Amino acid sequence: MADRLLITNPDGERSTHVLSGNRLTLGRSHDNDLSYPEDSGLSRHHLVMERTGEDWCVRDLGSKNGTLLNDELLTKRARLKVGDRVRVSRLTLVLDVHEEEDLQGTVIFEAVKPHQEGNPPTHTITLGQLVAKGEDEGPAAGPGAEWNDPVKALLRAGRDLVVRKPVEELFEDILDLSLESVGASRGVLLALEDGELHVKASRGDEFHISTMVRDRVMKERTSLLVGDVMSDDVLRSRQSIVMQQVRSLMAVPLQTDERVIGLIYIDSPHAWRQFQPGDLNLLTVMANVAAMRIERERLAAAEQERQIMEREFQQAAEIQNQFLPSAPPKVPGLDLAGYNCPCHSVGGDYYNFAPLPNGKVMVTLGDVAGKGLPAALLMVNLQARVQLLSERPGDPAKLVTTLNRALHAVCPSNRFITFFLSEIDPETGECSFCNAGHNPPFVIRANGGVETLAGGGPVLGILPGLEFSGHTSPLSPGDTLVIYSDGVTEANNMEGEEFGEDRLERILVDNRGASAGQLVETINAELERFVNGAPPADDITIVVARRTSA
Amino acid sequence: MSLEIVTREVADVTAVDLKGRLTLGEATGQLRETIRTLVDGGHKKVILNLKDLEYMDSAGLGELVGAYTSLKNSGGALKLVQVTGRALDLMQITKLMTLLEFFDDEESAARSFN
Repeated sequence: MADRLLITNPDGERSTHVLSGNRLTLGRSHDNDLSYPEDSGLSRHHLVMERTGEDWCVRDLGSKNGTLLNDELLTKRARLKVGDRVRVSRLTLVLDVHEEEDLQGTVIFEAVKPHQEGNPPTHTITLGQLVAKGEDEGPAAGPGAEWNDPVKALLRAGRDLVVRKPVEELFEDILDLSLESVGASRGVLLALEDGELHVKASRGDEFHISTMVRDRVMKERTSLLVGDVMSDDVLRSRQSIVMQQVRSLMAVPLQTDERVIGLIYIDSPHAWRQFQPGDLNLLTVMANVAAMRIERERLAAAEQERQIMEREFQQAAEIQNQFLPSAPPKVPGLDLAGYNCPCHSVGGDYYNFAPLPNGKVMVTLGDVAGKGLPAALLMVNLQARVQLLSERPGDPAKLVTTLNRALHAVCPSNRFITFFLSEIDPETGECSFCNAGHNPPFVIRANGGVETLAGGGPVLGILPGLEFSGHTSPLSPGDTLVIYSDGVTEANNMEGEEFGEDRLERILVDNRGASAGQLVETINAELERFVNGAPPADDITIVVARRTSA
Repeated sequence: MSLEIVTREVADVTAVDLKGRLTLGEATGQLRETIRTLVDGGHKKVILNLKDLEYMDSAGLGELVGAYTSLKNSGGALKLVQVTGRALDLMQITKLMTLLEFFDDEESAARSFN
């Protein structure tokens, strides 16, 4: 709850003073909280406002020209209600108390039966019509002109709305400017949130807006004016009109070029102030300016959030990169190379080289179903578990069985992980492995023969109690083991063709003499040539282990 | 790049045709929604007919597994009919055929529900 004082000076300029603390003094002297040294109508210490509990009170300090409270001379201390007008010299002070929680009770939409609706509004206009008119006629001077000195009000709006402010504060300013421009004191501003109209600012309470009015404004972008409710027999007898003593009303859309984002509704209980078409026209244009300002603020906020997200993803990618080998280990007898490229900044592929205590090297590749952030989170968990597994010797089938059970607990029911684990003995070339539902890796023999390593079991994370089987394949000098993720074979070119296993196999056989690092580069180059600019659809990982002569 | 889902009742079994492409995104979301509606509605016997499924990625396969699990958890069962092409390749590589039951036609799938 922020109490504020709305201060209007004789030129009609408004300022807002937030009431903090429990006391506020006003006068000509410089030691007042609000000091007006130039104002000769004020005494040096003219009045004091004091807070007792929830309320503010005002007391005249024996001033020469006195203090008026709601047009009556203040003789003793008086409690201020919201909306009370305190006049000193030529200043007007109005107490405003922010009670945001109560705003929503302020507006009631009445579904009114057709026969209760009254005759059509006395004046309607749309922004499009106004703009067209403006181009023809332009602001005309003189009484009776439909342009009601818009320039001053619009200049004010333009100036006041330029300041960067959070959207919520803008709503208040916009309503105040609107009320002022048409000389009204009661009005409400509603904005669309998730398809529903919410009160964002109000002056006065209990507004009854007919659903017909609301719908015409929101759906047809029509501005409506009822100049004199009393002249409409049906309308004048509607209970809400009588209760609220509404005499004249206007409703205009808050609209940008693309859409309607809310509405401003203003009514007047005064017989002497009936709204005119000129008022409606002005209000329509002001609401348009205001709406564009609101949209701009919202877009700026959304853009800022997007940038923050982008930075977070970049950082996440850097972190995830730490979980992959920066360089393969140097192992006598084995030539190792690996490559990974996520499709988005973070991905679901994982690979690792881990020299084991028993002299063997564990070579693994895992692929979480899907891609992006969800896959990346599971990848990180997989990495941690494999890290632990690699610290103690074990037979691949048993390790994978354990891994599967652990991953089942963390995998959502629509995610699984394909996984290939191998242990290679660099001295003997023996390669024991377990393939859990992953694309079968190739073993390219020095003589050009090709084998695929499929044995093991299904994908990880789905069935907790699975027992996996272990298999072996010997690697002789010159033989190459190539493990890849499906981002390689499923890479598309512009025609929608896939790279495919056959093409990959051909490349591997043709290049079986190359070092591990060269082979990875060749595969990448061929991939790039094939996709020819088409964007990657999945994370890509390649792992090569070549047995060199001892 | 879209998926069309057609649901029909055949005797006391619900058959769901998946037509087009089942890939990560809107399509997997649609399938998830469809299965959730069926589970909430108390359907226990569901057949997924993949005859007109042109393409599936690993996320799509994940969604099939998710569907299988949802039905199993609610006391029902999911059977697959006419798994061919890309869908079959994926199932073979991932060895998910041990989990998901395949049939050549809806009648034999329907008979297999106990």
